[in-house]
Amino acid sequence: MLAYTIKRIGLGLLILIGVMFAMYAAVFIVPGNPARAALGPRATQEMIDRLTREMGLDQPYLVQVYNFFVNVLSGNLGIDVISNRPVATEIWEVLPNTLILCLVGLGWATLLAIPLGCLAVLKRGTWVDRAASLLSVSVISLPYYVVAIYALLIFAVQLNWLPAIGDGDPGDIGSQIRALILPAFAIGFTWVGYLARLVRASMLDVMGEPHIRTARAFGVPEWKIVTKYGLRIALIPTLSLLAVSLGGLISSAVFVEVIFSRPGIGKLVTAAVNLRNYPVVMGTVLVMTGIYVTLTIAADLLIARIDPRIRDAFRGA
Amino acid sequence: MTALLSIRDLTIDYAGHVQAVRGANLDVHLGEAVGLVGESGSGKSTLASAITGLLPIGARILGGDIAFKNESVTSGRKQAQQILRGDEIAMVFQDPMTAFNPVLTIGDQLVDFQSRMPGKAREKYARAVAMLARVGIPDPALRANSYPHEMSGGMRQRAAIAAALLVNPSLLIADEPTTALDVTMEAQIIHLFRELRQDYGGGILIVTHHLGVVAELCDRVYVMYRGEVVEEGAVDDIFHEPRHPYTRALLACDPARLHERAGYLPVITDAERATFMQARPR
Ligand SMILES: Nc1ncnc2c1ncn2[C@@H]1O[C@H](COP(=O)(O)OP(=O)(O)O)[C@@H](O)[C@H]1O
Ligand SMILES: [Mg+2]
Repeated sequence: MLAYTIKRIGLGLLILIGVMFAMYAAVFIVPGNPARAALGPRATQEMIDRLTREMGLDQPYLVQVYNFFVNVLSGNLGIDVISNRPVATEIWEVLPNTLILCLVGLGWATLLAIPLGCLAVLKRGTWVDRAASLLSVSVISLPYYVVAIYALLIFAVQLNWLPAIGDGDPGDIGSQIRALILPAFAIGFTWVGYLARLVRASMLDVMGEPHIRTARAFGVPEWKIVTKYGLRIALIPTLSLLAVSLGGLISSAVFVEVIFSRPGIGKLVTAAVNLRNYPVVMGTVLVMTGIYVTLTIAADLLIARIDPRIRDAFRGA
Repeated sequence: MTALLSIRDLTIDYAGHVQAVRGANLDVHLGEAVGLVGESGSGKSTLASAITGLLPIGARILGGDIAFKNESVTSGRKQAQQILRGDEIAMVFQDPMTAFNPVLTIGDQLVDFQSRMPGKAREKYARAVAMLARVGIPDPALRANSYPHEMSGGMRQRAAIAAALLVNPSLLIADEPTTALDVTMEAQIIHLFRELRQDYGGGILIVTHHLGVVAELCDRVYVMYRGEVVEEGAVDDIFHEPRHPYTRALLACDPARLHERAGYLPVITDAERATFMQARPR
């Protein structure tokens, strides 16, 4: 298990390194000088040259990437060319916001989707099952930005129940929670349908397996069969698919943060891209990839925790 | 002697197509081991799973009655069969590979399987460990803590038998308990059943297509062919003097009963089959 974890983390680091190489290549490919973009149209050539040197943009590609990683290892993600503040500090300020948003968004969706999927299986073929299926499909086909915009228009603008923008007043937990509701709702919405369908499909598979029949033959209560004997196994394919789709979660966080003007990694990176603020772009991409890789590893380790067969396979690996 | 289990004229079909069981009669008495034999597809499993109401989706009981301890369990409330499960009746299934949940330890499952029994989880666990020892599993405390995939097929089938014995049932139904095992394992499991019969007072119904198992374990035997019980009697009688032509044909195909080495394994031919349907026992 330890060996497997180390292997997975190693693979995660490779992904991070690969992504950063690709990002630096993109800087070279995309036309326009970042230093000129940062300084605006009235900058002199001299100023541009100086900033280019400061940003290390005059260095060869590989040297730039190398310098970036050396700096990262010492916790230095570079300096924001607009605000002149350390990128690491800027990210650190908004990172909790994004993490909470992702966690709450995915969390409420999971908490709703698992019982929904189980219910559909228990009431298989009845109107409950059909209603749950219909709900799932319609929810899946709605993109999160549409959900976000409508949620904002209805609940914030029309009804004025919840704030439309921002992340709440500093120090006021109540207002922060209220500011979180709509963005988290928008992020989780599609996931409810997606996860409920996954849970239903894998539960249907599992509930047909012979060991379920054994449990029934011994009079184990049906709720226990569903939750302990069925769901545990059904969660394994659900988690694997979830791990694969986590990239979508992070990108949806980006959109939602922009729509709700909510401070976070997503808002930071979009603003930085628009301004060609490369150090910030590089830093945020690194952190977002890091989050993605960490969540994927967490999902895999969770699967291994649930399934002893996988655990044993890893032990051999 | 009143019957523990009494099946009368039971008829079951699958989604209106196959009549898997046709007018079957079967009795099991306390202290008796009864065999149910017949080739694959003759309706044995369908009959056996009907007893506890565990028929697959699509199966329907069209007629007849199943009575347990003189009370009908099919004509009254639906729960009548459910409350027998894991209490009065325990089952051992064919494939020990898939009979246990792969993500739970054997001990955990053996505790859950005693859900109809009184006692705390810790007591049930202790009983489970003791029963694993009883069915000949070495190092039972360790095994209770193992997952199914960490055990061999024979070991798992022993654990399945332990599960059934744990609920101290009046009737133990074993559907092909040795079919998935190799010959050595099969011999060991047969031996285990014989040994267990010494101090088990309930009835046993063993479903198998293997005549050897019946010869070794059973007092009486029912022979099924195409959903019908075609012959019934004491094992010795039927093995020595089969009356129904199907039983004779079945016995003739058993490799263990061939006295000389044949060039080929005898099979039941289609021409023979045609005669079974009209045939009445002599
Ligand atoms: N789930 C099912 N759906 C439809 N037909 C089935 C099903 N299970 C068994 N049958 C049919 O019922 C008949 C008896 O099957 P079964 O009781 O399993 O026989 P056996 O246990 O003697 O091999 C066979 O013809 C089989 O094809
Ligand atoms: Mg069968």
